[in-house]
Amino acid sequence: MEKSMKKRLLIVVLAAAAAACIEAQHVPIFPQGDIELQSRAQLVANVGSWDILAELVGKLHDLDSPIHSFESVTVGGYYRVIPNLKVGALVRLQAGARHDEDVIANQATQQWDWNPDVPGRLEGVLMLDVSPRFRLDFLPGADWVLMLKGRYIYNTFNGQMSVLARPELTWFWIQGRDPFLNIAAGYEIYFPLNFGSSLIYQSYPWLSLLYHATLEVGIELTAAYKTTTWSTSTSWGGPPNLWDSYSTPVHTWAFSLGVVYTPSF
Amino acid sequence: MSAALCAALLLSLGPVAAFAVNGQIVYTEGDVSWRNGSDTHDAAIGDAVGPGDVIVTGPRSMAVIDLTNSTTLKLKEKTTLAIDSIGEATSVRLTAGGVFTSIAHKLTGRFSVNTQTAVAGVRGTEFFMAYGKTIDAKPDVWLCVNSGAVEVSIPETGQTVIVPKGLGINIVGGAAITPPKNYPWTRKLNWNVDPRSGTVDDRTSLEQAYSDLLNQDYD
Repeated sequence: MEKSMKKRLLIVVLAAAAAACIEAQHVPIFPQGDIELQSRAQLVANVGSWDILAELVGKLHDLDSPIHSFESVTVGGYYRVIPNLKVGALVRLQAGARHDEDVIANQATQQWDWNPDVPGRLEGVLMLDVSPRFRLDFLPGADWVLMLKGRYIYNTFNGQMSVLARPELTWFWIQGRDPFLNIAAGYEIYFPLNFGSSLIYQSYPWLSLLYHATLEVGIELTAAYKTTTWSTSTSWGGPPNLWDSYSTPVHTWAFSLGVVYTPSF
Repeated sequence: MSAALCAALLLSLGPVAAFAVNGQIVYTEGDVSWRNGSDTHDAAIGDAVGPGDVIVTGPRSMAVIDLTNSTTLKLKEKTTLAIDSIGEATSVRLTAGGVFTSIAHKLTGRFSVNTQTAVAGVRGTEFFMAYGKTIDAKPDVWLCVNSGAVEVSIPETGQTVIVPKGLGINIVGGAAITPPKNYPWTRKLNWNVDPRSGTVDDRTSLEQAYSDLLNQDYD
């Protein structure tokens, strides 16, 4: 009798484990800890209260699997309303951006893959930006600036809207009267407004160094640990709706090297 | 040449001869005065100025002074400049504001602009020198060179730097000279000192020489 009970218990445990395995296979398994390498070149030309901005970005990720690339061109401008506040409008053309819907389910194999159309797909993005800044001269080292950036982002390709919030603290190492090195730390949070199933789509802390090679040219190095939450895609959760919905955080290390040119006229 | 013509020529050269050891105010805008001792005069074009005179410009005012050794000085607004000597060793003293210096021909003798803390010895033809902010105990002094070269020295410390054409320096707190570099704000300076060649007014603010930490955009 006791043997029989043990056998039944074992069967129940094995069945539960098997069910868990089957369930685990019903959500996409995203690779964790990938590395993203970015390079960017930026022009910010100052003309009175206006800043004209142009930026080129190139990004590589999924370095272990087939490398995926992202490219973007951004143009726009900022207007300095008062010394502590800038507002801006920017337009971006990008290729290689992945969205939740780009997780494609293969019903036959019960596997998933990224949408193969992503690399060549062009998307337009509109952005409205507000950047209040405050000097925190009471901190040790005196030359501190806190920025609380807020940005509304609208992707014209899929209609997705999100809001970026970014608190950022920068210390300026001044030599003579000129900046020599900026050391900045920030936390970037993207709130999806009309997509995904999580409150935060992407968030990450980052650390940045900007070396002023000249008064107008800076070399920038940034490191970030990104967390992106992928939510159930239509093809995954749609009919026949056999698989489970998911909301999976994926962690990525990101490193960026940039050149910033800031002439004034 | 008739004797009358010679006499007329000599007479006409008289005032010029008088200016041979002095200078002359050749252009003013706004509120400009000069003083010698306790006597203060409203400046007028043609006024002779020389050693011991102090020229003062008010807000939104400026003056151009020709010295006899082919040196022209253009005083920005809110400037106080004293003429210490004119001749083999010409020396002026800047106690407030800013001054452009232009030497039309090869300089004979020596020329220097003195501030509270530094001396700029002219080796070239065009440079600008001005007081900046007072962040430390003494005010900053900015200098940039448009042509030729200027030797800047701080007598107190013995530090000397030669500033070549196109570059500028800052004497930080009057205590240390920064390495010469290309300052973007100096591109806006109006180097013209000849009213006949166009506007001589310079409205460049020294505020631009200081990094505005609230005006940084990197994305």
